[in-house]
Amino acid sequence: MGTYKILLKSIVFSTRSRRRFFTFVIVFSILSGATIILLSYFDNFSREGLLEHRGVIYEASTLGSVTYDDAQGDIDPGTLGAEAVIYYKYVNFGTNLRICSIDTKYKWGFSEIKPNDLVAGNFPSGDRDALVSDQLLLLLLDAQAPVNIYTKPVVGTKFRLGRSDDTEFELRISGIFKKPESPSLIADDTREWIFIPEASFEDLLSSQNLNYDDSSDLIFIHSVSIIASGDVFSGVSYNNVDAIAANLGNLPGYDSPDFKSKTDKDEQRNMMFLSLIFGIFGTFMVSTLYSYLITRFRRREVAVLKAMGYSKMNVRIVVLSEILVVAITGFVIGLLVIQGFLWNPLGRQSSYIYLIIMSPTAFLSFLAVVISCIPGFILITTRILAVRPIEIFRQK
Amino acid sequence: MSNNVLIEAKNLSKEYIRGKKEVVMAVNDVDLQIPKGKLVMVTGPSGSGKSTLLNILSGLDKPSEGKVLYEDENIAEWDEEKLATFRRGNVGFIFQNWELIRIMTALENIESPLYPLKIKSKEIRMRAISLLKQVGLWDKADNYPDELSGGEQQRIGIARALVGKPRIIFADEPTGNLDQDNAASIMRLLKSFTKRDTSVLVVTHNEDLKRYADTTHRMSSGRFV
Repeated sequence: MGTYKILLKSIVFSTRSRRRFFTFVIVFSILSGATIILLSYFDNFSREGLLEHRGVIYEASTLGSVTYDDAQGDIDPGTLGAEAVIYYKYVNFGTNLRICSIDTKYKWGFSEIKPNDLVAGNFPSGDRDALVSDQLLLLLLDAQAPVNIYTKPVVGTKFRLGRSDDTEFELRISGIFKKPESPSLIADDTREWIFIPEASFEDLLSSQNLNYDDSSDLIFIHSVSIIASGDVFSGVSYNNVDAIAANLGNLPGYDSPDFKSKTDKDEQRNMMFLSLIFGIFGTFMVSTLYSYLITRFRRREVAVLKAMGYSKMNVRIVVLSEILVVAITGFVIGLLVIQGFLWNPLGRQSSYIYLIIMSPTAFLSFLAVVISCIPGFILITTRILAVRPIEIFRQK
Repeated sequence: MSNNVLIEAKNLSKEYIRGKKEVVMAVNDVDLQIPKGKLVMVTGPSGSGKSTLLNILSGLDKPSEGKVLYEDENIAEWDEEKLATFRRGNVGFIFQNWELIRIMTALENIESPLYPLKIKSKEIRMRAISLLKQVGLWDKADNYPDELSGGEQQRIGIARALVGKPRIIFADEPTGNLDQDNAASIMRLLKSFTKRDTSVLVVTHNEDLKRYADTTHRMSSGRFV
């Protein structure tokens, strides 16, 4: 009870030395912000940069150049030792549409549309979710009316696909993406593309009586993403990426494999590690300096508290709470500022950036800030606990 | 040790090394008894050793020789943590320079000795308010030390010393920085607490304050004279 009370009171009191408090909160927030950004880059390895860093992409050279059957023969997951092989299949649907399957687990795995390209909503997660282009027009009234009425897609809207009235397949718009720029298979296509999860894709095929063997209903491949096993931090995945690309080589019907060479990735990774070390070192330096200043400014106060009977643990809590309050306040401000900068007010919110505040990156950054405070805390407790009230009181 | 005595010093000595070789006896073979509910005063000029004596008796400093008996236990042999516990439950301090904590209000300064204790916040607040009223500074509860006069700060210091209901108050030059009226007022306040069985040890260079004491000792060169 006593300890809890000291902690609460100390948190309040630590904000009362306003100049010292605000100065260090600002410094901590800058350093925390830098640490968050640097760690975001690392996080990026497994998200936006997933394919660049961990994968090899084989994209069909033209639409219709590779069927799904061919792709399965070309790229056999069993022999590659890869973590995942994702076939991005599509089927022509009528004369204006292509339906493409996506993998909801590897949402950064598709070479053309990534969660960053969303202008509204979220990446599909449910079986009946669909991702549509912002240029898609939905027919609102029956085409037999004298004038057709179309509407722009809105997140949450349900619509139906069907080659006849009795085979309608209902989908819900979960997200809207901005169409990629040319050159790209999707951008250069005259048809619109709708992306749905793999399971839905299979359901759609069976509901529409599409079959793989019928030449008019052939299932084609937009691309195949091969995710190498191993983690990027140790660099194991880099070797595996190179090995997969070397193993497969160039394949007929596809462009040359797209991947980043190990040398480029190593260089980039090393720079990021270096920056991260500087970020953490900076936070460590500031927290240590702050701790040192506390030992100077609060020596007399600590002497009074000890004279009044505060135990070593009580005194530790008093000073620790000040460091933590400053570090956490600085971190939260840094996080909010970063979030504010990354938020595009024009509406092109990125689902990756949008969630940085709740992401493992934020947690890791917080951990880095707390860890960097430990040496400072050890310094402060060693110096503060060594304070003998009698010596301090003798100093006028 | 008599039942009526709260703290007793026996053959207490404290020596310092000044410079490289010079040994200074700040306290030299002093015997002292502080009875329960009495105001004991030690007077003497600056450098006579009276503050050192107070610091040893309160457990802030260790003697070179001798004993400080509190309920038949020699507190001079206790470690820092045990002494902290002893001070927390039994001792109130009044410092010459008041030593109020600048980031706490007057009310919070008074409450501060009770924060480590298992006492409910409401009870702490009530005790502090009661003392604030007793020292006549209820209207200054939310003021910070920098916003108070010297006399007011010393009153807050006294209230802080009393809030833990100590068995003894150690006051080092409690009127040192105050004018005559304020000094008399502070001494009357201290004297009033002896009626509640609280012992008070005052060390001061001001011989005029003797009239408030039940027992007075004069100190010179580390000895009672």
